Amino acid sequence: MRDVTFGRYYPSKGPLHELNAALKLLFLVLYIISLFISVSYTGLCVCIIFIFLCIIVSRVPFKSVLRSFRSMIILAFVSSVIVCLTHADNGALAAFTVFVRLTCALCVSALLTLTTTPSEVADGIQSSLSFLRVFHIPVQDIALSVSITLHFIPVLQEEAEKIYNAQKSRGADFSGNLAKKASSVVSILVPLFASAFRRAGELADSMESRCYGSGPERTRLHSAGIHEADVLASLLFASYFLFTISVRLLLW
Amino acid sequence: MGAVIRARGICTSYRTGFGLRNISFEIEEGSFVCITGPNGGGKSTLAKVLNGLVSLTGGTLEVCGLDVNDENNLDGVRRQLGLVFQNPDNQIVSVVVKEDVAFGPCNIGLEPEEVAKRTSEALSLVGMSEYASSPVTALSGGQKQLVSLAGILAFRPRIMVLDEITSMIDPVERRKILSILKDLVKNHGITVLFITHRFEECLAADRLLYIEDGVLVADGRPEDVLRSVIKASDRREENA
Amino acid sequence: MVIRFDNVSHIYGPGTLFEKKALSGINLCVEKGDSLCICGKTGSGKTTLIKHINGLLKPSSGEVKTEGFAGLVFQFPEDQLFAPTVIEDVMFGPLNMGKSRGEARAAAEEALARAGMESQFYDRNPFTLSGGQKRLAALAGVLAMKPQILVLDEPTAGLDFRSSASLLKLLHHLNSEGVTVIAVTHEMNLARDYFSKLLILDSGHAVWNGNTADAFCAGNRELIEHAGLEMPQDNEIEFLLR
Repeated sequence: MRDVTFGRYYPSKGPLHELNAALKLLFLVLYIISLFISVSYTGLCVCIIFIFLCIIVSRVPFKSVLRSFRSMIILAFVSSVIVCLTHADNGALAAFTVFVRLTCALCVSALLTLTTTPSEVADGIQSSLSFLRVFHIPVQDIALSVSITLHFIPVLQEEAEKIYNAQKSRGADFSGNLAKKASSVVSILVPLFASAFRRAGELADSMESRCYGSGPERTRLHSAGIHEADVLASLLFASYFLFTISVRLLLW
Repeated sequence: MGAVIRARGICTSYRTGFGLRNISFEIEEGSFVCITGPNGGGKSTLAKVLNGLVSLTGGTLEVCGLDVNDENNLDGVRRQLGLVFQNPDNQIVSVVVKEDVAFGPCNIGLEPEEVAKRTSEALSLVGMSEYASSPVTALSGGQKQLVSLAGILAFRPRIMVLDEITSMIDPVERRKILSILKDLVKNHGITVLFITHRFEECLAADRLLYIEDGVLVADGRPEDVLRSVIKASDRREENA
Repeated sequence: MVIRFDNVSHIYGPGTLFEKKALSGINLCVEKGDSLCICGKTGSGKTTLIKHINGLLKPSSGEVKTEGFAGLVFQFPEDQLFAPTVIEDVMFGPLNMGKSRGEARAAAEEALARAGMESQFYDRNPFTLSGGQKRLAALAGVLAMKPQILVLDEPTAGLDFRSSASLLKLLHHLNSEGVTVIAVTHEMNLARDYFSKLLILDSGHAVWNGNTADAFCAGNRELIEHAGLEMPQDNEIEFLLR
């Protein structure tokens, strides 16, 4: 259970960590678009090479990136097999396309959460979606909920592990027959939900006693400005994006 | 100095049944008061009552001259009376230390410069300045509690109510937290109400309140209160 | 000998940024009926060590041998209560061991009686109990499996003085009946007053492994403080309590 690291910040202090979070979110969206633009082996390889370079630059070990979504790779693999079998002509390319699109999209999302703290993600969402406030959408609250959710993933993960160990010590059986397995799973889920509710209550008390939602518009600690590195990254990313478009147009 | 908290006959009906029954006391500004008593006796309820998280069903409660029962005062009360809870993981909203400390000041709409100033001021009061940019997950339990304290200090409060903040903490870190609290009382004039089960912490206070079954059973010098309580408990055991 | 650790080391997350050596070269012998206290500050490896006793963790190197069933009571065990009634929750362990419902019920009733919880609690929802009662119910959940070794992580954390005194009395009683009791704590007074053997961990190393009575001499002050612990305190109030 310790291996589930999706959503966990990896403090290796690479250049990607320093970038403006809103910008990284934008890159994420554009990168996923670039995956869908690319339909040839060449184009998809460009996408793969790009994400590889990003991981190297980020100084997050490959292992940690892969580990954060390894269970989902199976899903990607299965779907590509299905695609391969159902496509009459050129099944191999279709399968490759599905596989690359899914894994690279997972990879880039993992990289975002590994190099960006949840509160930065929240701030990023807030600044990139702030135009929605015109439509009375509570962007700030949504951003804060995202940040808290991401913060609580590792906390609840630890809790789940503790309860798992406790019930296992009481002989809970996770490999036996279905009835036994079911009661063992219940013995973990009930306390975990109880704990999540209790934590949520305490968190709400703590936030309320720190004047959350009491009055004026919330301010933010750091107005994350645009720095030189952000400009450089934007230029690099723009060239990548244009390159994938030209691959599509020139090579099809 | 006058009283910063005036409670007269306060009662609550708390949903789980751990209510307060007719409790009255006054707290002097700048004093260090401990509150102790059995599990489920109403100590945490009292802490929540003090900043309006749980409402009263009877009696009157004034904090810094404000009536806590009046909903319009809650914001003012909470800026002057901060609450810290037992489990640090359940009260930290952010992943980076200084962002969590800034949560409160941001909520009351202070300018970013003022927020930054108060954040670094609060962190230096608890000796955590060097961790300002660290991820919270890298901190020990005691350090997380210091961050929670800083999150309240960033309001520049007059009163801090601390609900069993050391119960999950190592002895050495516990001692450090206690000495920081003493410093806040002595050198910064902050009134501290500290709920704890630990005798050594009770004994460090100027005054001790003992709450059992929602009733304020004893109130006085820590040694006297503890001694009388232990005697009463022994007597009860002999009878049983 | 019921527990034996031979040069046990444990490493978490080998090969990642989070790699951490939690235990190094631990040797430990526990005899039947011993009462052992394991002390150390947070992160010193205490919890990692006890997870080796019932096989939740396997050593990265070295060998662990345990004889008989070891029941583990984790920190804040009340968090693991899940069944709709107290008795059902306590029966969970015996049922998992393959006992019939009747046997499990008998074992559960006995364990609850041990923990000082009378029959009026059997059909209560565990979530409606007070903090101290929940802890006792969770403890009964382990006692119902009739462990020969009982391991507890911070048994008194967050309990008031009366609840912790009665819990410690229960442990003492179990120990006198031949159950090997092992507790993990950072409360040195607890170690001094209730346990005959003491193991002090400092960053995964055993820095003291022997009798409790000999551990708290003035010469060991430095060792104990280096491990992030304190010498036991003597004040009048503590004395009154004992």
